[in-house]
Amino acid sequence: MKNLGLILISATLINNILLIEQIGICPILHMTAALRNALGIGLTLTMVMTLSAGVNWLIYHLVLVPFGFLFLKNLIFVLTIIMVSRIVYIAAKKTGVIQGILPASGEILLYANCLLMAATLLVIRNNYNFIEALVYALGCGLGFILVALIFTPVRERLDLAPISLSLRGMPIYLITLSLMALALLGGAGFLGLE
Amino acid sequence: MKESFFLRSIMKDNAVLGIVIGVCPVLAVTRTGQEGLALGLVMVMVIFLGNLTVSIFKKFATGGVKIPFFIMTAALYASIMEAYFRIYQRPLYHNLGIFLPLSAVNCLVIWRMDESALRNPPLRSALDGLGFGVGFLAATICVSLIRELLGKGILLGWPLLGPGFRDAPMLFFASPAGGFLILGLLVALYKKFLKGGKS
Repeated sequence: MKNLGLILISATLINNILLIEQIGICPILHMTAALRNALGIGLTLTMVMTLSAGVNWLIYHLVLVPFGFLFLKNLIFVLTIIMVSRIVYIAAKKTGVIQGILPASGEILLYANCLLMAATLLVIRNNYNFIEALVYALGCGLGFILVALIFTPVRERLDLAPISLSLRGMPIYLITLSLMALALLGGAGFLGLE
Repeated sequence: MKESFFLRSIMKDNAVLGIVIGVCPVLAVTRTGQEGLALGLVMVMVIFLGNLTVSIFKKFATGGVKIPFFIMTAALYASIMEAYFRIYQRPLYHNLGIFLPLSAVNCLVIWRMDESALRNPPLRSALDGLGFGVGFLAATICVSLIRELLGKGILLGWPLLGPGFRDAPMLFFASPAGGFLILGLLVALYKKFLKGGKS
């Protein structure tokens, strides 16, 4: 139980997927124009990430490793992620839970697939068991939501600020992310976590 | 005509420095020049071959299977590149880690397939992919050389700066935060000098 808590904190803060592992910069730069939008994307991504990491863990450890099909792993993972995200998108649309704050499903697949695939690959790389894998993927999603919620208001203020023309837009966003990453780097070693 | 649009995709419309798309590997695995070069070459191969394949088989890519088809094609080539690195380049394979398979789902690859390969004949879209791939390679080389020089004091393995610097290098540039800062400044410079200050 304590182990699971540590994994959650590690995935959310200390090894934050966006700022420390540096995966998924595209969705945060291109899809977080409004706070409502950022929250919708974050929640959807968390859901898809957790589900697909679980399914992929099962496929990897029950099918691919025993039968020696490791060379197929990228193709299978990608296929699972596409199916899970399509199912989550249809479910979200039918129930109307997050209606109106979700961009078209094609756009999510286009920009955020790197993030979804990375959660699966990191789970496999770290040799977690099934429950740990789910918790880790959930932590990655929470980390994304955290950064998106901090970054979006900052971005809105930066758009209004008087900045030199060539720094305006993407360059100043990247420099902001750099400062946020520096702040999170200070958390290394917290609770004895690497 | 063909040459001009090839050059334009490297200089004027550089995807990484211009619109900042597909930058995750540029930030994460550019701590040394060797890593940046290897990753750039992998992306060149994946974009070039992926664009060619999608352009040849573009009549299958309609409706709901469009993006799955793109991603599966890219994943096929990324798997081939990963296998090559696992067999012949063992140390680099460990350094690049999850970013080798992740080149399959890079936004830049999928975006070029959507924009160019679906609309153009095979030769032209393959050249387009090659142009954007070389643009990506140029960006990774710039970022990785700067980070290696400032973060370690060496350039492609050559001890360029003196031992006084190498004993106490600027570790900030080898950390994740340094990657963001260098890329941000490079994008600003690119905007200033190649686009004339326009956004």
